Amino acid sequence: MKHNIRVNDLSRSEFINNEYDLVILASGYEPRCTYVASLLTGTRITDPIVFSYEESSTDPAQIENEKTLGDFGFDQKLSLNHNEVKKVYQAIIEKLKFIAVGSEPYKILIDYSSMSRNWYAAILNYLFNFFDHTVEITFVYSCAEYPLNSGFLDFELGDVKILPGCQGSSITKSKTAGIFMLGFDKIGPLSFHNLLEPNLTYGMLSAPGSLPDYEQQARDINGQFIQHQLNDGKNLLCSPIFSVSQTFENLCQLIRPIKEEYNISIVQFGPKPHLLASTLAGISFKNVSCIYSEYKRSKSHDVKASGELVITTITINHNPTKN
Amino acid sequence: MSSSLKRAFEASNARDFTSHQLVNEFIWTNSFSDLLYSTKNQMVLGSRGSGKTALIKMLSHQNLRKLSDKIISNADNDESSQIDEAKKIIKEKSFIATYVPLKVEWINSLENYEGAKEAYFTWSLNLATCARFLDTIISCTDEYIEDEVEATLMQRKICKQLSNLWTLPKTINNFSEFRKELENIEYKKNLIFNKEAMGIELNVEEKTLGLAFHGNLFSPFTIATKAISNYLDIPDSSKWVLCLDEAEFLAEAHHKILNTHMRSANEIFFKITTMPYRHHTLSTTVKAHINVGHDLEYIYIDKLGTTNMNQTTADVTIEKFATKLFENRLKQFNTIEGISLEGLVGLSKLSQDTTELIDDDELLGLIESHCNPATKERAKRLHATNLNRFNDEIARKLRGILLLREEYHNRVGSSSTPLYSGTSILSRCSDGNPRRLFRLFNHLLNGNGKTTKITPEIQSKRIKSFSYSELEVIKFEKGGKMSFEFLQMIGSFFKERTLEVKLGSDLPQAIKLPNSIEDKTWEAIKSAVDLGLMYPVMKKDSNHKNLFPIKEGTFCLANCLAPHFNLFPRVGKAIDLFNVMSPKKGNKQLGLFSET
Repeated sequence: MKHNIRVNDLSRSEFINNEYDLVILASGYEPRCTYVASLLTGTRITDPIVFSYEESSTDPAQIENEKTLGDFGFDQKLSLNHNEVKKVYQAIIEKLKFIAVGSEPYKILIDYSSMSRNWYAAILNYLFNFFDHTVEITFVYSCAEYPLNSGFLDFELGDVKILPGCQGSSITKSKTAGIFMLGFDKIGPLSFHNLLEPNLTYGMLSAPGSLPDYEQQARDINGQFIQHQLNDGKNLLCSPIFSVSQTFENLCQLIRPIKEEYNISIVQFGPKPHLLASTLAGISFKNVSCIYSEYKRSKSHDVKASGELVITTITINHNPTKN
Repeated sequence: MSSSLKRAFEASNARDFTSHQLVNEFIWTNSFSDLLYSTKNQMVLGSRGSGKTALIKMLSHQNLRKLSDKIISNADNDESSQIDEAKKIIKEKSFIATYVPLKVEWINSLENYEGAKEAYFTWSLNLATCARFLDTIISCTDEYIEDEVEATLMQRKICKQLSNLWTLPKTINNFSEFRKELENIEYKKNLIFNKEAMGIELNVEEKTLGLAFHGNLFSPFTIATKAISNYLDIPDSSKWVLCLDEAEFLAEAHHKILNTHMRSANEIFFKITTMPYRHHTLSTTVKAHINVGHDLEYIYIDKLGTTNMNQTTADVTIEKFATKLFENRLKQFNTIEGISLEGLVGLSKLSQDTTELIDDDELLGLIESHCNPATKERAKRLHATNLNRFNDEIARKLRGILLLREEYHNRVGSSSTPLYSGTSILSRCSDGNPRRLFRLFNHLLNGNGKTTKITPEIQSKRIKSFSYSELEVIKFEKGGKMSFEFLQMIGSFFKERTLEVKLGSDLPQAIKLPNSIEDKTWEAIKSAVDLGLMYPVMKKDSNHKNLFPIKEGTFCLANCLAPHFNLFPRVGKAIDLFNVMSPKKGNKQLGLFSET
């Protein structure tokens, strides 16, 4: 691994009672994007910022969410496109440029429930590779019940993207292994399998999922892929949605034995806590790439918070001998 | 045995194959000879699974060398002379190719380096060509230096020289360390590109890392070929070849750069693979365009390069290939013996051009039931006056279709058709696409019991399931829904014309496009061609190295879709697309795409 990092799961009360130097939220059209902010009314926060989706800035739901966030005290807004990482880099570098050397770990809270994966991957890329101080990042994900029967799954795949900081070593490694993080998308994993044509294929599924029947739904949707590409399930690994640390550890166990021989491409479908774990793997191993497809949805969906949270603390220690 | 027979066809992708497996299963085609002997830069155009990767991977020195050492039974004269050819090329050092896959992971990460995309592309492609050139160097030293001590010393000399030429941070003296060092450079350079993207200033060490790969594109590769020529006594007349696989991942700007090099480079030759409509431009980075036929020629390998041949020659070529592919795969399994494709699936009733399966009286009866008045009258007249013309103009064209139609109209309950069966139909339904053939074999053997023969009914059932799964694949692609709907529309139209409307002697099963078709329709057709679900119909005996239809042209439905739509797998007469979209019969006015 490139860095000294620790990934731990955190309880709801620990998360709420912590103090944060910087809080980063995202504002979009999903109602759940204000849920975490609503829990932080009594929490000491030095510096907050809200990343707001430029492409849906006129969506009434997003305008309403931004008003709600403003009411909670989160009124410093940065408007940017979902794949615009330069502005994220500028913002995070600006926020961290006056950090005192030798102080306690700098504490950041990120609500990634409605956040573009590019944004938090860019933040992690900077903090892992170019920030000199020890930092503790608490990632919070607010679970939701998806409107699976209302056209939520009716989307088309878009452009193929690589997450910033997760390019891997695809130039010099001649063999490819694919790890497919599976979710509710039937066609995406098959499409990527066609595209990557990996020499070796693994899959990961959320079990248990955020609701009791989600695991079976994911198994049904991915049935064909599991049968044909994952050797009838022999190459399928299950990992709980509620533990990013366990999912990350599971990924590490898949990656370590093959990393000398293969460039490993993690194909990002599946629930967001799994995507966070795989992004961490992409940033912390030098020959792991994270690849995904943008989605084209014809309409916005009413994704409401269920009240359940997945909370993870990632500690990056750039100078382990000092601690 | 049956389970190992089923397992035998599960892997189908050349990228997955070990070098050994690729060499053992490789079938030397005319396109391969074209690539090997042409003195031009070439672009291999082929749909997904058509064998592009296998072709240019086999051109590489290490695979050609393995082929030259392949031991076969003397019975196969063709293969024996091909191996002799490979031996000659390796011995004379006349053609030394390096295989470089252009992977989606690094090509698409260019988007993360706004402002430095071109620099990153050049740097990465230089590193990729050099990293893969190591494979070629190792193969050459293994082949041309017999003495082990001498080989080790040569390895040391070459590595030291390349460390210097490629400005590595340290001098390296063996190939395995060399690979690791290039991996390190890739990782560190990625960090540096990220740092630049963040707007953080680079230090001197960072600015100079991997500097040699920032030079002109392909220069580090070309310089290295010269060094290797000196060390291994490779003559000046040798052709150094770069085989770039999967150029469809590249953007138009990158194709311009490659075109510029193909137009001007005279020290190396290029063999580049892409999908039929994914050579994005003929422009270059200078004012002149690349000249197809002069700077570059196309090799179109779909349907095994038979698209400009007559139907009978094409069918025979494809059937021979399918049989050989089946045999070659089974040879890899010691536990499977005594099974031939024909033994397993038998002959095809549908495509037999013989009166043994259906005599003239029976045929005339079917014509009476299913054909339009003009065709009935003509058939009767020709049968009475000129049997040769009857056979050529009526029986040959209609026999299979009439059998399909008769069976379709008389099928009861859940009974299965036996007609999509046998070697000839099976190979036609593969369209000569090797990966599709493997999938077809895999479907055929799915759930097979201990029998070594599959009944026509079971074959038909499995081929139909294969056929639908081939169509469904297009939905997985970007913009694939549109192509799926388009194929459904024309497939349903041909089905209606084949099975419901009274038949004439020329049944339509291809479409003619005007230059004025809408862009979205053209996009749907291009995607279908790229995935091998439609094929352009070339003029017979045309020079297919130059011609490729852009909008205006004729396109046929892939044969693999014929079982799903209950069609006879053939090209058929072309009909204007306009007539397909606005059929005269019935009330099925077809909108091209559903509203989105």
